[in-house]
Amino acid sequence: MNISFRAFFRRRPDIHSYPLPLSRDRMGFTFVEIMVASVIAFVLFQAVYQLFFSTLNSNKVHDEYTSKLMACRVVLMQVQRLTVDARAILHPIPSMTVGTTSSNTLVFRDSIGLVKTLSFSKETGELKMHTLDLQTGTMVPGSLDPDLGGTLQPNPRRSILGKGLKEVVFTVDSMSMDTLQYRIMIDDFHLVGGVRLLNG
Amino acid sequence: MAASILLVVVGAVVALSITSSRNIRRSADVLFAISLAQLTMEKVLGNPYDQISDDSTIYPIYKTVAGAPPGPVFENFEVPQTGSSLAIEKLNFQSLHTQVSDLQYRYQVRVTDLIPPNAHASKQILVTIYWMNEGNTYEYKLSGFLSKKT
Repeated sequence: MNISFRAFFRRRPDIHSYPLPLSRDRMGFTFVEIMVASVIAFVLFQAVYQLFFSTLNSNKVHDEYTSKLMACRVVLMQVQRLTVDARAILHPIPSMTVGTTSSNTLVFRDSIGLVKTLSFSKETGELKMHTLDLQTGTMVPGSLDPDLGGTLQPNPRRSILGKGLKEVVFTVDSMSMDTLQYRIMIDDFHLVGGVRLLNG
Repeated sequence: MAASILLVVVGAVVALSITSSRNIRRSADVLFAISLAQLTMEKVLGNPYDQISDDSTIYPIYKTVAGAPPGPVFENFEVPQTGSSLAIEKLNFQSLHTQVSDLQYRYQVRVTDLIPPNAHASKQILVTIYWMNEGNTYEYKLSGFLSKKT
C-alpha cells in the first residue's frame, strides 16, 4: 500500500477535507429562506390570533344581543300581564279626528278599581309603574299587592318594569277602544304586543 | 399537511361563528313574528263579531317603498310626533320599517264560522305571519276562537 499522504486525502475528501462539502438535501436554510418562512409564519399566526379574538368578540356581541332580546321579551310579558287586568284606559284617549293616539305613558284602571300608570322616560330608559293608593289618595311606586290577610300593601319591587329601553309606545285606536297596542324597543330591535280590555 | 389542518381549523371556527350568529338572528325573527301574530289576533278580536270575516289575501305589515299600503290591521299603526296616524313607513319608523321590510313580514287572517248544534255561533280565527329569510319562506300560525255575545 504505497499511497502518499496527499493522494490519500484526495481519494477520501469527505473525511478530512474542511469545510466538508454537503449534498443538496443535507444543506441548511439560507438567511433569506428563514426570513421568508418567518414572515409567512407571522402572517398566519396573526390571522389565527385575530380570528380567535374576533370570534370571542362576536360571541360576546351575540350574548349581549340575546340578553337584550330576552329583556325586551320580559318587559313585553310584564306589560301584558299588567294590562290584561285592565278595565278602562284613562290615557291615552283616542281623539275622534285623528282616530289613533300614542303616548309614552299609559294610565288605566284595573279590576279592583286601582289606577295604575306605566310611564317610560327617554332620559333614563326606564319603564316605571305607579299605583294610586285609594286610602291616601297618592301615587305610590310599584303595585299594591294583597298580603295574606287580603290587605293591599305597596310592592316597590315592581316599580321598575324595564331598564335600558330605547322606546315604549302605547297606542289606542278609536275604532277598537277595547284594544291596547304597545311597542317596546331595545337598541334597534322592536317587539309589539296587544291586549283587549275586559271592560265589555 | 400542516397548512390543510390549519385551513380546516380556521374554516371550522368561522363556520361555527356564522352558524351561531344566524341561529340567534333566526330566533329573534321568530320572536318578532310571535309578537306580531299576537298583536294581529288581539286587533282582529277587538272588532265587532259580525265584521270579522274571512280574507285569503296576504297583506304586508308595512308600507312598501313603492308606496303600497299595508293591510287593514296595520293601516293606523301609531301616531308619532307628526300628529296623524301612520302606517309603518320608512320616513317615520326607520328602524321598525327596516326590521319588517328586510324580512318582508306579511300577515293573513282566515276566519271559519262554527255553528255547532245546540251552542252559540262562534268563529275560529287563524292568523298566519309570513316572512322571508335567505330565499326561504317561514310562517307562524296563531289560532283563536270568538263566540257571539247573546
